[in-house]
Amino acid sequence: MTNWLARAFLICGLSAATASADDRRIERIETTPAQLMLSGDRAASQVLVTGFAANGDVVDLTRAATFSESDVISIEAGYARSKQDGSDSIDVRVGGLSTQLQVTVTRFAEPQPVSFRWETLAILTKQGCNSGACHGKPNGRGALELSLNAFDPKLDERNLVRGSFVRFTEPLVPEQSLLLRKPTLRIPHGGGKRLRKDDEAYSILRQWIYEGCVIDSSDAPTCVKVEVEPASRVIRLANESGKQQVRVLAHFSDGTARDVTRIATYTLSNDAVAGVDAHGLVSGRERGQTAVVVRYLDDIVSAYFTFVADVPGFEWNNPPTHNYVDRFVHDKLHQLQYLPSGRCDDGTFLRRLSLDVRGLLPTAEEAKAFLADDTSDKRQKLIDQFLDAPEYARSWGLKMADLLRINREVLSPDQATAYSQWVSKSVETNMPYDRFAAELLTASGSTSQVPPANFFRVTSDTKMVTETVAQVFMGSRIMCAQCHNHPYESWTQDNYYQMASAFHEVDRNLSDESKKKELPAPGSEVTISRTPGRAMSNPRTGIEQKPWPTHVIRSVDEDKRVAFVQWLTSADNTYFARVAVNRIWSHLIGRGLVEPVDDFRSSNPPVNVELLDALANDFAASGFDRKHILRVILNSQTYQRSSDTNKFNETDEELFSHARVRLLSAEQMQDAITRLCDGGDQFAKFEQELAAAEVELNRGDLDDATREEKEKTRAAARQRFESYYMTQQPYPHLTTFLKAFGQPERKTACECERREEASLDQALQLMNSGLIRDNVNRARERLQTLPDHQLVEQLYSSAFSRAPRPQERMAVLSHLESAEDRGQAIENVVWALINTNEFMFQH
Amino acid sequence: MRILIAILFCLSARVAADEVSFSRQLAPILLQRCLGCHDNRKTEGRYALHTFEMFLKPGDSGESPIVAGRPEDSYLFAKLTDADADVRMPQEDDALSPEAINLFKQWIEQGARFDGPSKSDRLVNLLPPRTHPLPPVSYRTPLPIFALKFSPDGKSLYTGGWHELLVWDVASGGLKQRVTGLPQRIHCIEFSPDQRMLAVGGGAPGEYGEIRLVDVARLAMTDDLPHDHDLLAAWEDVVLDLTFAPDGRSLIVGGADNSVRAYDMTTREETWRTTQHIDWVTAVDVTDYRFAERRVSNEGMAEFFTLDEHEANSGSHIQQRWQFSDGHFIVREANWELEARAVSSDEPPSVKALTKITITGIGKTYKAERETFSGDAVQDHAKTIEYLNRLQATWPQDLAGTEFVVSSSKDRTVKVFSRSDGKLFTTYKGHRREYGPLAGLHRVFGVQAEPGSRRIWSGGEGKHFHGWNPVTVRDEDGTAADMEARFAKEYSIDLIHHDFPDPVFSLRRSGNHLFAASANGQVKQFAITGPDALFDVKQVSTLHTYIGHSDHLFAIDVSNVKSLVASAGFTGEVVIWDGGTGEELTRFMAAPRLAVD
Repeated sequence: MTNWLARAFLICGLSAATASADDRRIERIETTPAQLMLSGDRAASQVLVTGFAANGDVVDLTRAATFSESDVISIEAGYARSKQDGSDSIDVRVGGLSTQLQVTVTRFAEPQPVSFRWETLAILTKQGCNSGACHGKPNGRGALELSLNAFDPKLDERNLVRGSFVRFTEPLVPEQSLLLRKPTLRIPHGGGKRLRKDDEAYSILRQWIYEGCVIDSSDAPTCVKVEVEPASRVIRLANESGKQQVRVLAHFSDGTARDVTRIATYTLSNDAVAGVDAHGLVSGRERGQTAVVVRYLDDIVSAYFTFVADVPGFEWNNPPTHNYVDRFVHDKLHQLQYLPSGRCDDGTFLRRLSLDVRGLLPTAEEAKAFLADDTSDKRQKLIDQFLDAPEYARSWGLKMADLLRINREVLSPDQATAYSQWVSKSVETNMPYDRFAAELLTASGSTSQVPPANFFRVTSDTKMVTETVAQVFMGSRIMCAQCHNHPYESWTQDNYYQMASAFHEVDRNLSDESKKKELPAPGSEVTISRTPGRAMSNPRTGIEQKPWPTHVIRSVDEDKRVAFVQWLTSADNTYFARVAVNRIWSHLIGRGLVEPVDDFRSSNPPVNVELLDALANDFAASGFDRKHILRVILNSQTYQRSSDTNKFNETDEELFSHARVRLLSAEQMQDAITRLCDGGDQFAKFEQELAAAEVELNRGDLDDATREEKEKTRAAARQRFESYYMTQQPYPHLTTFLKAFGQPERKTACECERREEASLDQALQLMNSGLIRDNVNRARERLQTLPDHQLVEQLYSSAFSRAPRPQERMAVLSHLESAEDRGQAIENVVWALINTNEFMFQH
Repeated sequence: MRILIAILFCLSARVAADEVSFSRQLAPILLQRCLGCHDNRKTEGRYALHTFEMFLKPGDSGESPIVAGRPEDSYLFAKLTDADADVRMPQEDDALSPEAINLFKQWIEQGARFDGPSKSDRLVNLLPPRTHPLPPVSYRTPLPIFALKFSPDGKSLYTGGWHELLVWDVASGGLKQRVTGLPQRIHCIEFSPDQRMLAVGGGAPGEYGEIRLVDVARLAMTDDLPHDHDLLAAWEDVVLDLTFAPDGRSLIVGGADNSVRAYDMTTREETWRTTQHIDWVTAVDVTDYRFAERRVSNEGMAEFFTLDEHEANSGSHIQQRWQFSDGHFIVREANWELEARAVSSDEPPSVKALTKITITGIGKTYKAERETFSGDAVQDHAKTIEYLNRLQATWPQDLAGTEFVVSSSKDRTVKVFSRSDGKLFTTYKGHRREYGPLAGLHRVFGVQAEPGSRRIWSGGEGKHFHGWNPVTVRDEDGTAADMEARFAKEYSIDLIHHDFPDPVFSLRRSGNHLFAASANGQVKQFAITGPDALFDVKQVSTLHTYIGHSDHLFAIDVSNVKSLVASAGFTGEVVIWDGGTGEELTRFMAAPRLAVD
């Protein structure tokens, strides 16, 4: 009956597909695996039946297939269980198509005891028993404490089998066990219903208890690899075919493999796109991409599914491509049926590029010149010009300074300035990024003399170094692994301490004679040196961990950081280049290919993995040339797209079919206002101060006292000029404004500290803060000599990099003409312009 | 038609006759299916039903759960029968069976009458005594053993089985008798002091606890053993330990519902209960201070309220009172000590001496200098004297003759209660150690009162047994992070470094010996009292280490008559040792007709 129904539905489905598009007809079917080997009385395995259509579509037909009766296995929804020893060839049919599944069952007579390590614990994880909110939280819940996601099997054994006076199991009468009665709610359970009597999980747990709660012997095979099939798939959302069953295999150290589809845990990175059930059946909801994250004990692997659907009226328009960036972006857009927006106009491009590369608004003059230029390669030339400007180094140095947490809390002004300068110099000279990482991470010496040594001063202990390096250069938030295996990544607790061991030789000694035990005072000079051979132990096991990478043999004397950096910056490191290009992409486009930008893990896949890989490969091949990657992205059509959307891309948030409108960053906002009102920017003012101080100092006939005074002034001006925003030091009184616009406190190495969302505080700051008042005042003084029509042109060019539209011109002119106090009227206009969305946002 | 009416009439009459019992029929359903979320501890929707009173009180909805006579207006009934699984109770679970729902319906229709003794008592206590199933004839697999007890003559050993007590012949290791009708697992077995009764405690984890009283005389009936032992009380979770007071008048019980309760063995009523522990009560004991009374009457010594053994060495007890039978007393607080004699009830006592004690140093550098005022000099300190007199009048009167109940807990403390009313006297926090390699907050699994002394012994996790006096530790109680170090520094506790690598799950005192069984499978025996009744921790040594198990030990018992020691635990294997020589005598799996395969 069931088969008949399934077949009937399938025929309908197939015929419907045939009717709509003949090339979607399934031409052949296959089983995965082609040959099934089952060993033992409890052996079971998921079998996938896959159909291939003429047009290349791949369809999961597992639930629609019928299997011929067999003596050696039973099979239901593609899930095969052993029945007795023997071999068979099973006829698999879908509609008129068929294939053969070869099956061999061996050792059925040998009972297969339940493995605590590889079955019981996997079930406790799957049912959520050991999750962080339940028995996996420190001290557990009730009498039962388990390790989070079973990362510590020894603890689980102790607590579950013998703990609390053997409370949880009753081998003599297994059904009476608390471990079964609570989750099935035969006894009140705060965690609710977690298990049903007819679940596979129930019978495995019951058998484990019946067998006497046996623990695996210490030499039992261990899981070495987990594999999920299919590893990636494009699924068409139509009829029944919007579903895909997965199959999960665990490979063990003795060379055997076991199907763990029913005891693995499934989650999706994007719940809007699809859903997944406990047996690993993924059902699509709408077009888009998601990772199917499969956890089997310590291992986490992901399969990447893309759901596609036909959008009525959609027709690909073959937009122009400039380089590989566009090709990969277009492939994805084409596949998911989004139509990219057109190219932005010149004014928008200029303003966008200037903000992204220099952190500044273009001047009115630059705007006029660029708009008037009619050469075809003017955008490319402008990109090169801006990338060579000193403002590029300051603007991009600032981003690195945020991550390195160059702050006033621990560094003296001199140290912070020297450190900042070293960073911005590395950007200006386009220091290869691998060398930058190496110089930074292997720095030794006095923090007052070796600027990058301040890295180890800001990160005040080994754990902080480890976490910072992992987050900044590897995009891994590894801190969870300090206390337990990472819940969402494959990082184990041992890995954490191996990475820590690579940096644990670092000493931070006060350079002056007063070698006190206490923490060095802020700003004191510290010497970064090494105690060779010191390593960290995993506090759980007490076992000292070899420095990462563990396969490299190093002598005691060798600086353990060197091999780490070599591993980190090698061209085949999967993290280093990808994280770096992703950060650049995110700064330019407004959203990372991986988002958050420093949260790389298999369960958080990039939205366009081909593009990320291409950029990373290009980056490595170019010798980790940061400017090169910037240039590639800036020249792409993708970067230069308009923020206007069309009917076919208005819902797209992550595939880069249109530009993203972004609020200016805190520093950009402050400079934009200063530049609009004052003509210069904050930096230009520092520059003037410094020049003035130089002039003062070079005047002859100075007595010693005056000279000393003037040298001090120059030093202060130089410091402000050279460190700009990077040290967050020069003008602390400005920071209420900067803070409101999300200037980070630099407490962590997380890009997320820089807030990007709009707030009420920002609106208030823009309306009536001291900064706005001063600037609007200055704008009046500077502009009131200009005739009205010139004033309008000037303001619109500097604020928006475009000429005023007739209506705007009329409005401003009439306001100026009708005003009793022209100065006041100018102030009003400037104030109004600052408070427009067009000013506050980058388009 | 007439026939039909007659049938209907008959049916309704039958229903009316069959009144649904809340206690017997509904309470078990509520307990099993509802209490998980609607308890006083976890109260979803602010609706609790752990007592009948609460069961009738509306929760957040404000709707009356039960409207007598009208199921359709009763919110509870509506929730039980809602078609929407997201609204229906119990949530995230199957609906109640139609039969169960029908019982609720009938009960409400019949007027929702309460048929138990007290509406404010917890539902679990309304249930009729449960009937225990018969254990299997043979055990497929051995059970962990949590309780062992030698018979008074030392010839038999009782162990806990599945819903039964098993009686083994000590000499041969053979099974002599099976006493059925008992809780699922058995955690404690004790003989009453007159040896006429066996108190058996246990239960099923998470489901119930029970104390059954087995009449020893009935055990003599060799065949057809009775199944219906008296139920002293039912608990909400497993009973873990029980002990008779030395006078046999009361039974003290502790268990996994975190409570300690005292039962009057004459009336078989609960005299008091306390829920001051915040985790399982793992062991209980009662102090026996009759020796002190004897000493007072025999030797005319001070009837003391605080023990002064430590002070003789170096300890400093800042609050003490001695009351002598001739009416004179010594009272001391801080660094003042007053010796006086009460003259009459309305006259101030006549002062004999006032002493100022200046204490310097602690521990080994401790030094006390005494400056005694007498005669006219006393008058300079009238206020001090007045204060001390007031203390003498008001201070520890309520402690007179108090015996204590002590209870150890997984909550890392040992609590001391007055035996008569269960009021908390003090909490011993010494199993809290902050520094050093042995740091940790240690759960306490065993507590024993030492005979002929005021010392209590406690132990569990950590590396020490703690010997302490309830009064002294109350004086010095505090909230230091490292109370063990603090007590040790003051010399007010005795620490025996037992050197077990794993927790001690069972602690037994027998005479002047302390026996401990640990998770590493070893039993150790320590002598805890010297011949002069003064304890010198330096002279404590391990008399024997019994090595014969390889897994967790949970139970230990000692027979003084025969000088036997029995131990058992996770594997279900019992080993009987010679307590004098430490030699192994017998070893057997305590499971009936264990299938060997």
